[in-house]
Amino acid sequence: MNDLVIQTRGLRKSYDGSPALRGIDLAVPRGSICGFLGRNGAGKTTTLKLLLNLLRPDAGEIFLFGDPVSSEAAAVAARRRIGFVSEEKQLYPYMTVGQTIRFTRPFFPGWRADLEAKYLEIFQLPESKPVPKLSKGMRTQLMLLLALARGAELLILDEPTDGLDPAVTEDVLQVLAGLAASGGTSIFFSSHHLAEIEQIADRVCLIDRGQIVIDGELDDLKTDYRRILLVFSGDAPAAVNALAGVDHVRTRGRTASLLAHGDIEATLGRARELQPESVEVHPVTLKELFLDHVKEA
Amino acid sequence: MLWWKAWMETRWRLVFVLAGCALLWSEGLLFGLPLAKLKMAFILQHAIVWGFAATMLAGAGLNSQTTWGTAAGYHGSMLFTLSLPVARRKLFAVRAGAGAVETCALIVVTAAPLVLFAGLGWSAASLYIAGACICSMAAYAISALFACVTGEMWQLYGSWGVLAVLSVALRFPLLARFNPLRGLFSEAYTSAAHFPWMDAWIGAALLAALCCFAAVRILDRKEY
Repeated sequence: MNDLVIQTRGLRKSYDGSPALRGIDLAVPRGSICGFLGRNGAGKTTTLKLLLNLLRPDAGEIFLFGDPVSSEAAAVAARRRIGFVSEEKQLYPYMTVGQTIRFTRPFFPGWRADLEAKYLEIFQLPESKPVPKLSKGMRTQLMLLLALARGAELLILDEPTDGLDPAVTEDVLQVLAGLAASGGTSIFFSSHHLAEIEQIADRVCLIDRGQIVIDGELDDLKTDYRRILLVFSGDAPAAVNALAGVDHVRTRGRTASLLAHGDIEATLGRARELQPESVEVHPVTLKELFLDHVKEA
Repeated sequence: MLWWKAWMETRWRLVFVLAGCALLWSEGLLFGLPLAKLKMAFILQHAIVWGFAATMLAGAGLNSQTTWGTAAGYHGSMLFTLSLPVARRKLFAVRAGAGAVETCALIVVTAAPLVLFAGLGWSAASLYIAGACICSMAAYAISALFACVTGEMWQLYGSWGVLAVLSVALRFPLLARFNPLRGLFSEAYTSAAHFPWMDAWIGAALLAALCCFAAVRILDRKEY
């Protein structure tokens, strides 16, 4: 358990009887960049808030850095090692950039003055500028600075690039990728921007309707999953829907498109038994994986 | 730093309340009311001011920093605050403590004109301070509790509503005995001999303890 920065078991949460999470099992290894992917309302923010003890689970367990987060004291101790950037990216409007930094600094004994200076320069944040006068991009950069300079072992980022222009988005992604490359910091970030996750994540966790539907290393997922296209002489037989090793099937007239994973050769063998006219195997993109799982779940 | 943050959040409220008090003083002085009438005017007006001041200074808690608050002109920094390695109870205690200190300072500061301009003796002024403390302790605790549950405006409306109920309860002897508002509305206000100190203190302290206990329980269970 010690090599996991985040672990959850059977995490459940409902709002007014309506289930938001239906038994989430997460395992994020130390040092990884894990993209937490899902549609709006899939349960991403709820999961992040549960990790930070802002919400209480109906059932299940949460472990951060190997320790159970079952009390306020444990959550406070864990938050000392976590940098969090919320989706809203709101800070105190009555403070300047410099005041916000000076306010945050004393809460973290491991505050890195060198990182503070470094990111102030990279992001070109004027210390005397009041927070309300910062653009959303600059607010995001300030929040990242606050998260990074505290020497956090884990960054939890909720839609870190949401609402940012492409140039700022690229800056932010570069910083995150650089941080992970330098080692030591794990990143768990939610997003519905597939390209960003493909760009920097080494691990992907896909949540849909409160359940984890894909969880694994990005490279492994790309290797494990294949798109199998079958073209039949007549309409695609109903038997394609029952093929073992196939996650999802889409049929249209004579064509059946299968998303398969695991032993692809064995699945191909079973598919050929249905006597298609042609069989094609293609690698899948993250976008295809995402769409297949969330559209047809 | 939390104390500094609390000060930053409440300083304009304090200025606003002080300006309100100054307005009342100048009104009394400008109209040149007779001394006795002036004293009564101060007392009645201040009774209202304490209710207002305490409820104002007890606000601006976490609930005023919600995201929906941003749309209403407030700020949505609640998640940033809650992501700091600070227990919720400590956040509440510091915020409530800062407002309480400001309220106490306000009581002492506003007692000065009563002594300097209205001819109130030190003995009566100290009774005034004690009465104001009792009244504002109750109003503050009620408002702090509302601040844990509701947004900015409903916190004020709710607190004033409860204070209005308490002031109506003064008319009924059974309910008036431990009523903390007796501290400011009582005609025996400036008389140490007639003022029901112990009952009012007990009433205010019990109400404050109850509100604090409820606020802590709510904070412990609240989901953000």
